[in-house]
Amino acid sequence: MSEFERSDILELANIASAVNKTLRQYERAHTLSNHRHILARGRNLIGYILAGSLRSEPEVVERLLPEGADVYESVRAYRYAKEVWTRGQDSPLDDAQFFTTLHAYAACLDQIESRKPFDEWSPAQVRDLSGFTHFLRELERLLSGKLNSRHAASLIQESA
Amino acid sequence: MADSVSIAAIPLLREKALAIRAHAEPYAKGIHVSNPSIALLAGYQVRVCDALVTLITDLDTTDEEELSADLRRLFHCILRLAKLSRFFVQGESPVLQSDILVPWDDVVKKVHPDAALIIRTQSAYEFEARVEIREVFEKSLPLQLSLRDIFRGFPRYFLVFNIPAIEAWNVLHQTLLAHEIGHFIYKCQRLDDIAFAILAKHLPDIKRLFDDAFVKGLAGVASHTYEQFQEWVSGIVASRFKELMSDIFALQIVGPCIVTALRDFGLPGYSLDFTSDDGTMFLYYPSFRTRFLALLKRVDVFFQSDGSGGNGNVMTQWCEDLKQWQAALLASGPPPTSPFSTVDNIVEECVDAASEKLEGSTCRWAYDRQIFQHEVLPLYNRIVEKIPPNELRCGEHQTAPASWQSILNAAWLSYSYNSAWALDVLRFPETRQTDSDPTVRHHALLEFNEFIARSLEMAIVHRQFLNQKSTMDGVFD
Repeated sequence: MSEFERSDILELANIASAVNKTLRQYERAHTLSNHRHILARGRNLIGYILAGSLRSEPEVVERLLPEGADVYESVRAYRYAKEVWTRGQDSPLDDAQFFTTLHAYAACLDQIESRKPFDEWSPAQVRDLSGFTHFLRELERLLSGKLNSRHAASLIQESA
Repeated sequence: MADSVSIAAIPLLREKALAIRAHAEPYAKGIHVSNPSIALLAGYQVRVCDALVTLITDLDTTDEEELSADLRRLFHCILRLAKLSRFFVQGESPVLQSDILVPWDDVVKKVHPDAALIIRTQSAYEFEARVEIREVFEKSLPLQLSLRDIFRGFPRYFLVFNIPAIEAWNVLHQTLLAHEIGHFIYKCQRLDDIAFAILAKHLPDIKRLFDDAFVKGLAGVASHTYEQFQEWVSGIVASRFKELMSDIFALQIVGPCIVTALRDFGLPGYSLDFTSDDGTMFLYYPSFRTRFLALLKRVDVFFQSDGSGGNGNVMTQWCEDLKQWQAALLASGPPPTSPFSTVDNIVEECVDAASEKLEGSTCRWAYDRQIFQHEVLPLYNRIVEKIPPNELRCGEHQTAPASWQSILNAAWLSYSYNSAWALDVLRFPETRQTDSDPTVRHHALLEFNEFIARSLEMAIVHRQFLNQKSTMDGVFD
């Protein structure tokens, strides 16, 4: 794995962790402070995944990723996200369902951003928020595992 | 409460962060540093380490799972920082500093005013745009750190280019830095947006390729999921597209000599068409044939005016030779082979779309073709007469410094067409190795390089003097 790939994975893991912590904090306290930057990175993460699928509307990606995305980084993000997404499913789900869920996750971020009171969230939206934190935790686990195994492989290679 | 193993790891991580800080600190203070960019970079490394140490000290130890995840990521973050520390080990990789490198820095600043550049040498025989430092920092650091505070005053882009140590003295080969700047332009122009759109359009073709490969049971492909295959193809397309566009930008930066420089550097080691034996080059780089054809298709614009000289001069010959070479490359190309012809078609479509998007846009970093047509032949004639090609007469008793790109073009022209060096880099399908003694040729090249390097230096200093003079209200008149 190249140095650049490691940076990309570490970046995604950092985003997943920080957004997950922020959302869990929100779930507990129903309010947030100094969160704008983290939520924006959460939108970026969803943008990478959607862009990397190569099937998303450019306007949607543009909104989530105003600074643009790198092709390789995005297609990798899509693969990792898809891996997490399909892992816990009994039957394979298609991309359309995956994208609908990602859009719902992005909507959660928008709701927090707009300071919509938590008691006005619909049950489905609360479920989406919970699903999002679960997804982020699993994604971070997967990425950390990849970093660890790549690091171990490098050590073995260096000592061989 | 977290378990004792995680708790015990905290001081170890802090110690490592402090060690990286201690390593960077002398460089940040300017000790043993001749290049101010290194001191600047080291200063930010110190800031980053300080922020990390605070973060590590304040880690929440109440939740074992969370702590262990934080530690894992911080461990990898510190690994990345340790790698960055290598930039400060100047003994291993000297940073090049010379007036003749000033134009490259100027071009980078014209691409983006808030950009800085370090040019380093490396043992590997390749030119590469290694990293954009700020991006590496930002990708590696936990989001809890306030990057805005840490990077206050740091350039928006901080580029590191590596050039082969063995060629560091060679001004002619420094022409290839234009390709590396091309990567930066590619990034600033956000051309990946084009790759996304065209890859999306070709998804059915990519799927067909996957199914075909799966049915045939091609080694390596059959075990991949379609997502992995899509990622693989997208990576190849994006990489080849970026390389070709960087070549095209390089042509705009330095003019036709990029073709000669690329050929002189690339072809002795590689064949025109890669095979799988060339490893990652085969996958992630367009073949040299494709690269040359992309350049030759666009080089014409530099020669179109009559200002390039009358019939029969060396400029006309250069232009004609390039055309002949283009025809020869087209005629001798290998038959297209699936699946790479599909990939090549997608890449070609990306290049065409990017060229269309960029057509007509004003580029402050581009080499003015009229200057090329006006300056290169007289400079070439000066070289032939052993007069340094640093300036041009612009009146009876007045001279003006030549542009650095014109000097490079005149130098390459002289190098290519002067039988004393017998390289003939333009006129044969493959670079011809002559029977002449390689040592003699090498010495001739060293001497020629010295001559051109000093000429470039004189032109650059002259230009800097004129620029300063123009801002000093007649003090020097």
